[in-house]
Parts: sequence; C-alpha cells; structure tokens
Amino acid sequence: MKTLKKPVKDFPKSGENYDFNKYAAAVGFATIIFLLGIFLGNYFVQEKISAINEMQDSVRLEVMSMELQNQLFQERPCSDPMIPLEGKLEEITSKITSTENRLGKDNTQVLEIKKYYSLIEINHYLLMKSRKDKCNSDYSLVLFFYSNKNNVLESEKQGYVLDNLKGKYTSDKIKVYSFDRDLDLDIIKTMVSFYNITDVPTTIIDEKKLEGFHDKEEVEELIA
Amino acid sequence: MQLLSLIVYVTAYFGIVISSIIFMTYFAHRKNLSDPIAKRFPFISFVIPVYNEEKVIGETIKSILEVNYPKNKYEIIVVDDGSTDNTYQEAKKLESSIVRVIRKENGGCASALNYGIIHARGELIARSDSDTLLSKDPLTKMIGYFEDKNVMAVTSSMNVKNHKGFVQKLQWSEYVLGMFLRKIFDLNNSLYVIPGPLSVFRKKFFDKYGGFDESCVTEDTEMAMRIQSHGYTIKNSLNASVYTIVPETFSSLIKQRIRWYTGFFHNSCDYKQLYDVRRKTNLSLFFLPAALLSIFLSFIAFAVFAYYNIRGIVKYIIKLGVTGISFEDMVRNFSFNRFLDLGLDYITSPYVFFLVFGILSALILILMSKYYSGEKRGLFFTCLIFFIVYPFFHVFTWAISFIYFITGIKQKWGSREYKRGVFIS
Repeated sequence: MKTLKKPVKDFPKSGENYDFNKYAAAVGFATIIFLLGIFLGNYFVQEKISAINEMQDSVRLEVMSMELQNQLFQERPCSDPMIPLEGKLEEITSKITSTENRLGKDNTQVLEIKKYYSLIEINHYLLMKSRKDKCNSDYSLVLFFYSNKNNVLESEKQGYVLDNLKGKYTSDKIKVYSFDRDLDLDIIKTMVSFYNITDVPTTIIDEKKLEGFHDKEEVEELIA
Repeated sequence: MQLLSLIVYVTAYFGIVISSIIFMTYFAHRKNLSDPIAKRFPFISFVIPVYNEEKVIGETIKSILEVNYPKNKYEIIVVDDGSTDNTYQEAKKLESSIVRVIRKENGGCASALNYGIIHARGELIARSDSDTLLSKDPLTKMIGYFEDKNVMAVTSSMNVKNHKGFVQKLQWSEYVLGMFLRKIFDLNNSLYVIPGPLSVFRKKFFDKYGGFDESCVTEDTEMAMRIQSHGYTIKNSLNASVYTIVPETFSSLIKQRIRWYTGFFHNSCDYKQLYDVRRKTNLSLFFLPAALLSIFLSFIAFAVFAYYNIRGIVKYIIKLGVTGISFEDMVRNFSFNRFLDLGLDYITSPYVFFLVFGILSALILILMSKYYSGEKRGLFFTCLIFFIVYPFFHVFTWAISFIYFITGIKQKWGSREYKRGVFIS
C-alpha cells in the first residue's frame, strides 16, 4: 500500500468552516479579561505607591516634630525621649524595593519616591548626628552609597552585609542610611562631592570611609 | 523590564484568547456533545499491530471480542510484525471465524497497519494498539458519525489505565484534559492527530489516498493532516472511552514525547498548506498556528519565569555567602508583616492574576472532561503534579524536540519495539 501525500492546491469547499463572530467574541472577551488583569495590577501598584507616600509623609512629620523638640529643649538636648522611626523607615525601604521590582528601577514614580525618601533619610541622619554629638550617644551612623548602574553586584552584597548588621545590633547601636548615588537630586550630588564618593559601593561609618565591598567582619570592627 | 512585561502580557493575552475560544465553542455546542445514533452497523475490521506482546495479546483480543457490536459485523486482524517471542503462537490460539492472525517481517507500526488494511474486508477500519483496553461500547458510539459521508475518521476518548505512580500521574491529567480538548477541536473541525489506542477510519480513504506513512515517526498525525488536507472531516466521540497504558519511566516518556513532537514539526512542514489562511478553516486560521505559537510562547514564558526565580535564588545564595548561614538571623529577620507584604505583593501582581486565570481555566476543563467522560477515579494528586511539574516537563520535551528538528538529528528508532501501546526506540 502506497502513501500519497499530494499537496492539495484547490481548497475544498467543505473545509470552509470558520465562524468570524466566534473569533471576534473570543478576542473581545479575552481583551476584557486582559484589561481587567492589567487594571487590577496597576490599581494595586498605585495603592502601594499611595501607601508609601502616606508613610513617608507621616515619617516626615515625625522627623519635623523631633527637630522642633530639639530646638525647644536646647538647654537640655538629651532629656527628651527619641521617637523610634527606624522601624518605619525600614518598612518604607521594603515597600520601595518591592515597587522597584514591580515597576523597574528606572520608573519615574519609583525614582520620585526614592528622592523623597532620600530627603527624609538625610533629615533623620542630621538629627541623629546632632544628638550623637551633643549627647555622646554610642550608636554608629552609616551612610551607604550604592548604584543600580555600576558595580551592582558589589552594591547588593554590601547592602546584605549592612542589613545583616542592622538586624544583629538593632537601631540603638547602628543606623544605616542608604542612598542611590545616581539619583538626580541636588542634595545627593552635594553629599557625593562632600564625601568625595568616586567608587560604588562606598560605606561611611562615623566619618570613616570604606570604598568597594567590605565583608561583615571589616564593617563590624568599625561599629562603635 | 518593559520587554519582560511585554512578553508576559503577550503570552497571557494569547492564553486567554485560547481559553475563550475553547469555552465559547463549548457553550455554543454544549447541548450537542452526545454522539449521533448509528442507523446501520457497517462491517468493521480491527487491525492490531503487535510486536513482542505475548503476555498481553490474548487479553487484548478477548477485550475486543467482548465489545457490543453484532458478531457477524466485525473481524479482528492481528498483524504480528516479526515478533521474536511467542506473540504469534499466543494469538493463533484465539484464531476463529472472527480472529485472523497474520505475520510479516519487522517493519514498524505503520507497515504492520498497512499490511492489515490490505487484508481487511471491512468498510471501516478500527485501529487499536496491542495494549489498549476497550470499554464495552465505544464502537456503537463512534460509528454514528460515519452517517456523514465527509467523515473519514473518528477518534475515541483516550484515558490512562495505569494511573498509579508519579510518571503516570504526570500524564494522566494531560490525557483527561486531552479528552475534552479533542472534542473542542472536533467541534471546530480541527483535529490534527488520530491517536493509536482506538480510531476508526473509512477504508475508502486508504484505497484512494494510500495507507499510513511508513517513513514517518508519527503516522497518526500524518494521517490526520492528510485527511484534513483533502477537505475531509475527523470526528471525536467523547463518550467512547478507551484505556491505554502510558510510559512508566521518565526516560521512556521523554523518548515518546520527542518522537511525537519532532513528528509534529515534520508533519507541519509536509502539510504546510494546512497553515494557509486562504483555506478559511478553523484549523488553518487558528488551531494549527495557535499550536505552534503556544509552543514558542511557552518557551519564552518559561524563560521569563526561570529568569525571575533563578535571579531570586541566586541573590539569596549571594546574600548567604556574605552574611553566613545563621538560624538566629533567619528568626530575627522573620517578620509577619514583611511576610504578609511579600504575599500580598505576589497576589496583587498582574502576572499572578493571569497565572491564576490559566490554572483555573485548565482546572475547569479537567473537571468538565472528568464529568463528560464519566471518569470516577480521584484526580487530586494528578492535578497537583500537573500544575507543578508538567509545565517544566512540557517545555523541556518541546525544547529538546525542537533542537532535534532544526538540527536534523535522526532519531535512531531501529526496529521499533511495541511496548505497552507506545513505541520505544
């Protein structure tokens, strides 16, 4: 028995069986479901961004209130209780990281949030620095400059080390402020030039500068 | 990032379109899923190609002898394809006015089928594998379709007999899902595979257009495409259940799939006219292009999935590398809020919405298939394995098959072994 495989050039009439309406309806239905998925996804992202903004505003208020307290108690600068804001800052960082993962590191909304967050961090840092100087507190202040463009892996590794130490020593002992060196923000640029940041990652622990990646033990030695 | 999102969205959209077509076809024909009643009982020749099946051939013949069909209206032709064991002798023991046993030199399944067809007297040819168990009445459910002169073949609902074991369970859901999908394809006149365990053909087609392609590794797909290319119809009976034995080891399963999938690529090249949109058929406009596109998109979607997850794992390993592994750290860093946040983050991602949509669609189809096929066995574990392991297996086997296809590596089938209803090289 032979096998015949003649290509059929004249398309048989009986084969014409497609139903345009069915395809149109399917595409229409699929489009609705698809848009619903996109809409829900975007809605949740926007919700998260608003939540971050709200949290940032509330932290900003707390920082301002601490600044005012500082000024009010000029004569007794170390007697007023400190409002622990590190937990909130930590929460904002985690939310920004997940939004960054969702929307991308170059997303305008993400960059705007990060700028505002950097300002809050600087504000908090200055307050903590002035307290440390005046009250002789024994916590270490760490400024961490990283980049999402160059030496990303080294920056990430340094970030893990600092996160780990933050967890180990708690905020009474170490306060870490992270800055994206490439952020288009004047104050960051000023800090970069002030501390002469030429390499990423750069970690400044109580004014002592560490360039490049430094392991846990090296960083730990510099913590007060 | 944008490119990755685009890929995920295109894949998701395409997946939703496919689901929509399936469900719309179902709703348009849901009252029409039963089989047409046969007005007459044409003479049927069962052709059973066998190779080294001495242990099961007797049981196979007996199961066919028990089917509900007038005894004077069918014959069984067992074609021994040069077995080296006692298959021929075992089959001979059951020879009767209904059962005929013939033998030939080993030449593969297609050649054995063709040899049997030459000796067949029937108006219809029922092709069955040597280790397929038939239910009592698949034939009566299938032959009604032949009232339509344009119908050249009817396929059955293929289920798994040996469902116990991980590898078998991995395939079982796919088979169950396949039963319903085959009906959906039928309702769109777009069947392009006629599986071996039980299919009935009009002999007239073989007389006019030739028998099974003996040079082809997937003679069942080739035959289906040939029937389609001539403008004829292939139907499916959702109620005609047959139970087949599936591969029980990963290596035999992978070999089987590589054979099927490379065969599909080759058949698609041979019958590229079926992809011509000017044919204006569901097959050419949607089902065949969708089959190819879904393979391509599943590669991409898998790559994206792997990229995200592997990146996460690599980062975690790097983290452990610089911070050291400490149980104390893990406990300290564990915060319920963070955990909740992460969970919420996952759930609210549009990717997860689409993933859940896909899983739900497949689950609904499996349940519908279970309902319509009358499957009584529990499907919980097979579904679990299907959703977790099957995507990896699917992409892996299609990827290997694609490499085989584009590099032109010849599969060394040698003298094909007819093992438990599937061919193993």
